[in-house]
Amino acid sequence: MQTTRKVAALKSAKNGSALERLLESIVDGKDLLNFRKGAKLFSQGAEADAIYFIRKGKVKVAVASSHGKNAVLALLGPRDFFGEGCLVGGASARTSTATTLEPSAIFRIEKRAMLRAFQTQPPFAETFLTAVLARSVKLEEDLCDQIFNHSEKRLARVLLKLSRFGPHDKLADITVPRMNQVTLAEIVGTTRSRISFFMTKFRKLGLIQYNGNTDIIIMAEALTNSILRD
Amino acid sequence: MAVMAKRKEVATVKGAGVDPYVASLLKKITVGKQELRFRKGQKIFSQGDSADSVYFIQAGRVKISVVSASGKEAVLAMPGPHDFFGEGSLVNQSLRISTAETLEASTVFRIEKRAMIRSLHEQSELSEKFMALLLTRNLDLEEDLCDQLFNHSEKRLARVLLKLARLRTHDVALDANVPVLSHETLAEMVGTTRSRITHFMNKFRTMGLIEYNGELTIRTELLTDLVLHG
Repeated sequence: MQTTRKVAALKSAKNGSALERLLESIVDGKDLLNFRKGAKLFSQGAEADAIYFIRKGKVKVAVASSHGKNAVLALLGPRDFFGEGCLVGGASARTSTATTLEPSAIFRIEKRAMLRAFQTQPPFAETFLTAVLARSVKLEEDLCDQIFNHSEKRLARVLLKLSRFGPHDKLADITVPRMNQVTLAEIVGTTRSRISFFMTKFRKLGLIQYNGNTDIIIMAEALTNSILRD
Repeated sequence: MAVMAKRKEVATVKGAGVDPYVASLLKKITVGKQELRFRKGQKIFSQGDSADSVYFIQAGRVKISVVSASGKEAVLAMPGPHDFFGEGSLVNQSLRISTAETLEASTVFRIEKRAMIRSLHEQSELSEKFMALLLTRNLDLEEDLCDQLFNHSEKRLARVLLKLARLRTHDVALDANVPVLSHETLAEMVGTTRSRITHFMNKFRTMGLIEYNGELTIRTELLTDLVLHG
């Protein structure tokens, strides 16, 4: 699974910038919006009539169950798209909630404009298709991760993913903003207290390091080794 | 779980509309396409094989599964008539990350990667339908991921049985007969142990939610109640 993930990541990074160039050709039905940290782009249940493309910033896509449990489906960064579910079927509702994790600049493209671009510009459709395929591969990996791995390993994998947000494909140590343990628990699919326990363990093992109150340093290589070892 | 129910319904409605038409679009591919016939239980490709083609099911059913490094197996999907599989090969996936095996006698088109990419390029209609199928698949995968994150294994089993039932009939009020699957396969689909599956299947039978008579009869309405309110 390790190799696959790397290939998919490389491919989607290249594909993302191609998509960004192609987006420039859409004139009508496209807005560039600026959001503060913590702003909601759309909420579960709302009408789904647009797709979003991140120019700058980070977005969390989460689902709430009727029992009030939360699960984070994806953490997205520059050149990622989201809300693409609106492109299939008739008038449909959002199945998730999208929230900014930091100040972000995001393109909102109306469903109609996107579908029109697919028809008038075949390269646009092809590039987007590749992105959708890459997302499909990623979702399958996440599903395997849930089925196969216990929560400690899942947390290690989530931390590694966070460290690959930027253009870094190498296994260098990387500093990322500290994320609260409730959010981490929702991503991993476990309780906050388990997260707290594992984070302390990871720190003692030298896999992560806290840098003041705001940042966390992820030792990518040591963390990768710990995942591959057991 | 009202949320999950809504997601499921949306996916079903969409899935139903797209299919048969794709088969006629594929007819236009003349080079690099083969029709293959498989008996029940034959492997179409295995995890680790080189990935150089996409498959489209004319008739029959296929199980897509992944084996972890420690030997655990998970069933990712069970595509049926007019579904694609193996499409990861189109996005730089050079090796198969899963194994495809027939669950019943099946007729399958094997389309070479190059031929598929050329057709997607030349036939905008095929490209559109293919994209719609993939987007729907991604919604399904997100739903499965939520299921793993939110639900305990009994409810997940009920949901897997409902999915199997829906492969036969789209009417939720009708009972469906499906071929009997081994408890081992069900365990791999649900992500739990075989003994838990045996325990729950016995419970479901005592509760009148399922019935054995050579085939497995699924009382879809009662099972839906369990998933929504149980």
